[in-house]
Amino acid sequence: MSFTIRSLRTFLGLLLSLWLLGIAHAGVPNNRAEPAYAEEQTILQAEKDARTPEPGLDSKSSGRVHIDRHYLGQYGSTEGTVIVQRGGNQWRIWRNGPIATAMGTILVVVLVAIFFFYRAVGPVRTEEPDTGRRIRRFTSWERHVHWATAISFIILAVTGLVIMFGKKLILPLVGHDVFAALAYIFKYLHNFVGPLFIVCSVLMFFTFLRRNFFRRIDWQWIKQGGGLVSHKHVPAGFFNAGEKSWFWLGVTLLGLVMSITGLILDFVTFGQTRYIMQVANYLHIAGATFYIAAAMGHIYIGTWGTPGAYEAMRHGTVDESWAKAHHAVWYDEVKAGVEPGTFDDRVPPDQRPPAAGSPPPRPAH
Amino acid sequence: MARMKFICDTERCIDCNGCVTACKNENETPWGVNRRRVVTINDGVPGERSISVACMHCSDAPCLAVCPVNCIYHTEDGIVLHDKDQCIGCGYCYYACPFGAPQFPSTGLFNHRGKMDKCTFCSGGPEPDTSEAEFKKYGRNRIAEGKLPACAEMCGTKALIGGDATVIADIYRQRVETRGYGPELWGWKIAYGKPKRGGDVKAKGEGPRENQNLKDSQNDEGRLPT
Amino acid sequence: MTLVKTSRDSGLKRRRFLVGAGVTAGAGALARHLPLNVIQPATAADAVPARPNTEVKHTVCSHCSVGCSVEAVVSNGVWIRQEAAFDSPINMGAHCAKGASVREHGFGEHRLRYPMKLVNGKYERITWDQAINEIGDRLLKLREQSGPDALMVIGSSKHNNEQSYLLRKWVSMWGSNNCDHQARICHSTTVAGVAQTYGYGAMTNSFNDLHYSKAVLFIGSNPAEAHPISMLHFLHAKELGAKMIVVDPRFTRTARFAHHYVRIRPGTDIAFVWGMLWHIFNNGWEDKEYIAARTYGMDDVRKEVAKWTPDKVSDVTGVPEASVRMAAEMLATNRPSSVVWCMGITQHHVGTANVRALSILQLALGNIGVQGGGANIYRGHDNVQGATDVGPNGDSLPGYYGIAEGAWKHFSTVWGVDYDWVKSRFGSKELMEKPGITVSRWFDAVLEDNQYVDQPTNLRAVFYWGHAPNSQTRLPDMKAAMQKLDFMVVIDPYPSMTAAMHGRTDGVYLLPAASQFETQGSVTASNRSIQWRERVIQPLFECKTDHEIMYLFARKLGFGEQLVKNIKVVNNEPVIEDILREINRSCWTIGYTGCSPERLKLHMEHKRDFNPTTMRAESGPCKGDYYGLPWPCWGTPEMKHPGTPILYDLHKPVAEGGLPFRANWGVEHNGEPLLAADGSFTKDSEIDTGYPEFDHVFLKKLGWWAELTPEEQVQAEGKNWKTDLSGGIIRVVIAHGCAPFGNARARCNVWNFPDPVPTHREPLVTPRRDLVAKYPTYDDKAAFWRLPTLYKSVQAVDFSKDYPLIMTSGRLVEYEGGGEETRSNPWLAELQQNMFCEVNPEDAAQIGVKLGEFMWVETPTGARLKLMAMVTPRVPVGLVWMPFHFGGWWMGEDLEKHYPDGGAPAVRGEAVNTGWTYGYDAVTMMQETKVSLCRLVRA
Ligand SMILES: Nc1nc2c(c(=O)[nH]1)N[C@H]1C(S)=C(S)[C@@H](COP(=O)(O)OP(=O)(O)OC[C@H]3O[C@@H](n4cnc5c(=O)[nH]c(N)nc54)[C@H](O)[C@@H]3O)O[C@H]1N2
Ligand SMILES: Nc1nc2c(c(=O)[nH]1)N[C@H]1C(S)=C(S)[C@@H](COP(=O)(O)OP(=O)(O)OC[C@H]3O[C@@H](n4cnc5c(=O)[nH]c(N)nc54)[C@H](O)[C@@H]3O)O[C@H]1N2
Ligand code: HEM
Ligand code: HEM
Ligand code: SF4
Ligand code: SF4
Ligand code: SF4
Ligand code: SF4
Ligand code: SF4
Ligand SMILES: [Mo]
Repeated sequence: MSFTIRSLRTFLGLLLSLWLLGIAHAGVPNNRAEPAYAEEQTILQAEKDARTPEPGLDSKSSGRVHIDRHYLGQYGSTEGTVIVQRGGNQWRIWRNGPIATAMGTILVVVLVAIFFFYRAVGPVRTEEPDTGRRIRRFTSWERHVHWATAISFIILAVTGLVIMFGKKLILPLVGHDVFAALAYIFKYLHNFVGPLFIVCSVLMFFTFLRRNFFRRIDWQWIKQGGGLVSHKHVPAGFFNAGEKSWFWLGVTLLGLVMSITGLILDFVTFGQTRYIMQVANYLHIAGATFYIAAAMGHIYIGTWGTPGAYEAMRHGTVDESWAKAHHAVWYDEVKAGVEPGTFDDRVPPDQRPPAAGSPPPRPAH
Repeated sequence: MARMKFICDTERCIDCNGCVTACKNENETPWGVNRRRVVTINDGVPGERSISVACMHCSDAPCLAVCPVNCIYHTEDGIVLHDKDQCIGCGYCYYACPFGAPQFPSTGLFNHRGKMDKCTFCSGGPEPDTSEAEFKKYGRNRIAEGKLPACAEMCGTKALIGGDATVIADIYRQRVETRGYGPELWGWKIAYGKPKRGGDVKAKGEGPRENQNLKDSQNDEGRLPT
Repeated sequence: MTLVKTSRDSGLKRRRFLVGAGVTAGAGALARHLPLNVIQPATAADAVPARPNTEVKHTVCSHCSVGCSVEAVVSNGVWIRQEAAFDSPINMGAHCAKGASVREHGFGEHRLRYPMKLVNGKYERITWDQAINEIGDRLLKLREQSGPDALMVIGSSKHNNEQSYLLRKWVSMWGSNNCDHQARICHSTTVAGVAQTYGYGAMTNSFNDLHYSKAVLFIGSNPAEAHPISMLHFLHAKELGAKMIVVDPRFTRTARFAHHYVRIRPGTDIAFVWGMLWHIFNNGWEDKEYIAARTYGMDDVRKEVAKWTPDKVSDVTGVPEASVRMAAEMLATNRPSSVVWCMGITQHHVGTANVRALSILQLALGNIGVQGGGANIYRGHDNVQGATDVGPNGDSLPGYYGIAEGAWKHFSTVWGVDYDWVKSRFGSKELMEKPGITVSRWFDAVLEDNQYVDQPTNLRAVFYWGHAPNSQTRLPDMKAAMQKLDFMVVIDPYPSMTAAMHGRTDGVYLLPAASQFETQGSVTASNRSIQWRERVIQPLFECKTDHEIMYLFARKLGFGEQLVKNIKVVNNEPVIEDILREINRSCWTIGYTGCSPERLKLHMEHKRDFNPTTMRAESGPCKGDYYGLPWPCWGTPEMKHPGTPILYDLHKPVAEGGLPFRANWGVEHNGEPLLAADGSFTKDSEIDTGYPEFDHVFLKKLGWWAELTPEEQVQAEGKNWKTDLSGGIIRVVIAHGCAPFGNARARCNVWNFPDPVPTHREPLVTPRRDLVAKYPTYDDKAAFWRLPTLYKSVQAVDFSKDYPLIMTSGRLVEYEGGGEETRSNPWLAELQQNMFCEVNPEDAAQIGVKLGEFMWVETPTGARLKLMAMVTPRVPVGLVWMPFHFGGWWMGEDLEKHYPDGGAPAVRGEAVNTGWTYGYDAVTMMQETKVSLCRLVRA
């Protein structure tokens, strides 16, 4: 698992500092900021004359609201009574600058890290050969929910990244018109799939919730780092602690962050001010960064990292020896009948019945 | 090289909305899209001032910087234009613009906004100049006709002046020198350098230039003295 | 300078072209000539060729009396663009929101499209023929049953001069004086008061002339909203150092520019002006020489003023003593100084007295007849001045000729009809010479018992011919009257609230009139400049021009021939130029005679030759003329009088626009001379003392008769300067440097008025009950403009306990009048989408209402208005203010479904006049719309 305590802590710290930045940013317009350019300065000077109070830290308006009679039924944009909002330029500086840089860096670093990790450590295989006895691990419902979520997530990630970095990476290759068309489709794809993803996430949350409560043995697993590097199989329940962190920190927490900020950005008809959307955007990007990074880890582990795991999600069953190796506690429970009815001797549906004694199918890679 | 800019002289603007309507008329923007608006500060108390705001055609334009499809561009006159065919209607330019200039024909669910519209300095867009297609998408191209923006030309009191930055700064400076007040409001030095004839422009008029003594009962929002 | 535009995508589609744009302005020479720092239109070196079939039509904004020029670009009959008319000396390209939006009239989304008739509560389309015939038949029946005075024709200040004139003629030939237009409820008190003081009821100087002012007092006037483009000129004056004083109960958009702002209690302006004069007299700031030479009765004023000691003024007006003094000092010591007034002064039951107090103030300061001085009365509608001069006024024929026998004879001659025929059209000779019913009261003439109506019959039918109903007070009474009428006709480009508010199920006709951009004609701006409007587009839909409709009705009613005796008719449209020529031949009194259609068109075409400060053409074919030939433009067009830019200005010869005060009231009164003192005369005058007006006798006495040509002598014999149709008397008199109307004194004492010297009277509905006894209103009148009119009996009731807040009303820059046109124009309507009431934060807190929330305004009439609270310190505690442009709601209910389909304006709201109370000026029947009481209730 790519999540260690340390990365967890850094992640939390980063999230916290983002929130703080957001709060600091609330004092718009920020008069202390260096004027970006003369045009803005001229208007700011005019605004200085205003005796009407500035919105404080708790104000959601993106600048100083001036109330005259046009306020009753504003014309123009939703904040027709704001002359100048410093938050806008600030948002541009942060988003285009440090935030984009950080996101890009993190994603590239994680990708590269996974690659090298795979080269250095390789997959975690079961020590015993497959028994050919299949244990049902995921029901069809569970698998459908998982894949619906997974696919929508991937669409969101790809389209989101194109919105963010496309103009640097793709536009120079394909030109304005093609890229604009692509971005147009991607934007709507992102905006429509977003809510779908939220629905899936909620289903997924309840589907896997019960098996993701932490248990005492998880502590053991964490202490040994999941045996990822050592290739030692640390006994685990249905889900190990790594999967549980993925569930709680990734799917649940980041899911919430992405959902809330995404909804704010997606449904703009509820009077959100620019300021709110700027803050939502910061958090959305930050969330996306960690979520995508974590998902890369998850995907790695679910495929190349752990031969046999993919089968579980693909067809619903695992080999007995896989279960014993990776989720010993669960295996024992199944055997003891505590987890009822999960043994399944049927062959995965899309495979021909294996000839007796022939080796059981192995993950191909 | 010319750099096109606006100045709104708050010592003159009377909030008559002539500029707003002139723009509507000239560019036929629909209900809900106002490339220009007039905002009043200190409404109803001494120190009240109105200011007409539209796209300022920023030299270092935030909208341009954040546009995900890079469809906003500077002309060689420093006018900030954009290409509606490429715009994906994401609203980022609106989040970024300090002056709330970008407008959208709608704000719908799923961040459906339609193509961004904003002040073009009355110079159309990337379509061929003064073509029908250009007018439909961007409004009139007055610059190509050798005219200045409609809003500034029709401004009720000539408060709003638009044109080459050096020329309009000069007009403004001259005005300020005649009346003897004003520049402090305008970040004069930062925006336009020192007054032409050297030295700081100081208030020449005697006394306060308007009735700004708040303690004066006549100014006081206080009671109608009956 | 070169403008270069390049496409962004340099690799893919780089285009590059040059446009030379001479963005001139400001710099040096121009600044001195045009000190307004105007940006001139850029001139293209390489401009894109104009579209084929396009032409530029020159017209004038139809939304207020400033008279801003508009350049309309028309292509194949469609109004495709509107350009800034930089050439006009009045607006120099500038427009307020309304002017910048007039092109929308060319589309008319919410316009009335075809004639309609109310059948079972629904409007149904009918043909023009059916409309004219049906209405005509009903009119003829009405006439037979009750006589011509059963009809009220409410005309319009929106009609051009020719249409206004024709409408007065139309009503005369129908046989009634029951006609009126907006001026009644606008500046009627100004016209009456100023005319009785100086001689003419009009703005004395011009907007441009303010450039010369050293101080300007704006009292009851809010030009930043109501006359926005006048501010172009005033702000320039201010930048040159003019002091600015604003007297208004609200801290208006204008007040924010003021050096000195005075918050006054509404309805106490006379006390305030006398308070100022008290300081002026006390400090000897008055112009003693001027008073001695050019005024009559100033001593009576002194006596009245002496009563208004600072403490008393302060008590009555609520203005601190020092503030009154400061205003007096600023105005008196920075001369020439100008006074600007408007509705805050005129719309009171003491409106005429208010106006006169200010006229007297300017006389005391010697400010009348000087550059930079004057009584600058900013008028209302685009042609309210013209409609007042030559239009449908119930007490006068065109040119202020009155309605006595002589006047009727004068016009019978001009019209080419028999005086006896005209007389036969009327109910009686008495009715022919009795001022008609006013627009402010027409519904009382429907509702009152017949015995109290001073004419044989009650009103039974009304024509709303370019007038909105929501601009008159007491709308519930009006609604009751509408239901009582036999029938009602609306002739208007828009259905107007008339179509929606009546609650009838039949007997309403809507006839689509063309707007002023679909016709041509002359229009008189506030400064008396007459401008020519070209027809921009053909009438839209099935609309017809007003003069065509008049002709069609006249034909149906049997006086078609007489109406157009001297006027050609083409396609049923009387030719506008011919109508103007008839005006030129008849209105000598006010010099509407030199302004031939040809001269006016030439001015419009050569606008650029006129200097924006002096208004005089410096070159070109109009050289020497003042822009728009501001009336009086004496004599025949051939005389080439340049117009009179400043009234009563002795510094110029009459031939070049000079004038003394008018001699209209005899040569002496109560032993005091009324003619000017010796030595007071216009430049180059051959008579160096005061003199009376000229007639054939006086001319012969002076030995100037022989200078008339023989033909002129024939026509002038037995006539005076006003009735001599040859214009010979005027020509000769002016040749001798004299003014045809004499050389007299301005009257500070108008003995024929209810208050010969203006006296403060408490508003009818006042919160200061303690002052009522001391400053009571007038006694009730039995028959005043044909109706009983109440004063004391209204004032006797104390409403102040139940209705603690003073309410007043006024204007927003985006909307005009009743607002039907402007609220139907989406470009404007978007800017102000809700009817509101300005209320001070303290008062709002009392009822717990917040900004933008709905509340009820309840008034003593029992009416309730539902509108939004605009919580602002702009109004003081104890006073609320509402715009009067809204309509289409009735006490909380939206009337949208009562409009004809698609005809409801884009924005609707409660009409303030639904709740407005009773009150009328004691001279002109002006309605009191600036002071009343109300209370607020949270909705
Ligand atoms: N935008 C726009 N412009 C217009 C018009 C329009 O409808 N809309 N209408 C045109 C017409 S018809 C006219 S007549 C003019 C009118 O133009 P104005 O008279 O300038 O306009 P108002 O707002 O009616 O009134 C002016 C001021 O009088 C103040 N006032 C009220 N009561 C009193 C009082 O007792 N004493 C004093 N001293 N002031 C008082 C009000 O607070 C208000 O600010 O505008 C013309 N121009
Ligand atoms: N409470 C309150 N009431 C007021 C005032 C106030 O300050 N407060 N102000 C008063 C004043 S000063 C005035 S002047 C009045 C103004 O009030 P109104 O004059 O009643 O208002 P407008 O909307 O200007 O009315 C003009 C009508 O003429 C129509 N029209 C325009 N052009 C033409 C044309 O060419 N031909 C024909 N036939 N019709 C045309 C328009 O569509 C419109 O319906 O309101 C008065 N009422
Ligand atoms: C191609 C992409 C993906 C692959 C191959 C993949 C594979 C897997 C596999 C093999 C498992 C089962 C692990 C086990 O048996 O213990 C699993 C579990 C799970 N996956 Fe995925 N996954 C992918 C994407 C995602 C995404 C995008 C999400 C969430 C947004 C996600 C959420 C989960 C969850 C919640 C579980 C259950 C583990 C738990 O609850 O702790 N997966 N995935
Ligand atoms: C969980 C996975 C998600 C990821 C990885 C993701 C990623 C991104 C990224 C990278 C951007 C671009 C930010 C920028 O350029 O500044 C973006 C924008 C956006 N996202 Fe997401 N997002 C996710 C989920 C959602 C959800 C659930 C919603 C909505 C319900 C949503 C709505 C939006 C919207 C509205 C935008 C603005 C883009 C536009 O409208 O043009 N996103 N997202
Ligand atoms: S849209 Fe805003 S940010 Fe962009 S150039 Fe205009 S004012 Fe500047
Ligand atoms: S709305 Fe259009 S112009 Fe604005 S940032 Fe998005 S794509 Fe660019
Ligand atoms: S420059 Fe043109 S587009 Fe821009 S606000 Fe002015 S009129 Fe509108
Ligand atoms: S037109 Fe001029 S004066 Fe009127 S609101 Fe616009 S900038 Fe101000
Ligand atoms: S409404 Fe009056 S000030 Fe405004 S443009 Fe028209 S004429 Fe000029
Ligand atoms: Mo008026």
